[in-house]
Amino acid sequence: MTQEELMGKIKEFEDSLTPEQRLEWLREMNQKIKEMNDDVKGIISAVQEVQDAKNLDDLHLKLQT
Amino acid sequence: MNIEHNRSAQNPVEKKGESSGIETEIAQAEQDVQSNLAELTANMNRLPEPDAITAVEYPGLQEKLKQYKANLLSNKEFFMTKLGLISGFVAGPAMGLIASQGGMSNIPATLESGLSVAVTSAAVGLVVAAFDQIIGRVDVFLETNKQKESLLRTN
Repeated sequence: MTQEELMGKIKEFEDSLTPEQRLEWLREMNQKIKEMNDDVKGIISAVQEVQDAKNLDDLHLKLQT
Repeated sequence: MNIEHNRSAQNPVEKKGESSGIETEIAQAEQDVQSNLAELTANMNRLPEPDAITAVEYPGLQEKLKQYKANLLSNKEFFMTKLGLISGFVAGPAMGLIASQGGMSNIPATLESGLSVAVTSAAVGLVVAAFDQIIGRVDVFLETNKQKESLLRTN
């Protein structure tokens, strides 16, 4: 499937929606994008936590030696 | 006659008012999509590199990453089910589209770039591609962790 075909298919889908359905689709999409954002932020902070803990351990080791 | 006349005169006004109300809400929702995607782009650019994980011995990290991956997959499933209405949709061409429109780091500009389709059409492709990109990164994290864990066991 080419990009033009893909965009054509998506446009076809959106054109088939009534204004009410389009509004609902937009709201659902927004909700999902927000959840996706929360997951990305969660991944960032989970990795950051590990890095912080590692840095703290390194510092303790340094102080002990 | 008068009643009929009044009814027919009122209805178009009412319909116009309703239509204008929903159009305003749609415009607002489209703006929300753009601003949420802009925030997502900014956060995606903050995703750490796989090498950032240097301490597999810290408990709970893998579980957390797996949970986030499960959330992402579930939300991706939502989009794919919706897009099931569009036969033959695949994320590959969406990625190509994004690349041709300035790449993932340029999502808001892509959305405003005058594509000959509605703003959300571009957003749909971007969201699906973004899911794949983030899930791919989580997979790399998990794989890096697995390799380091087995290295620790060997040692």
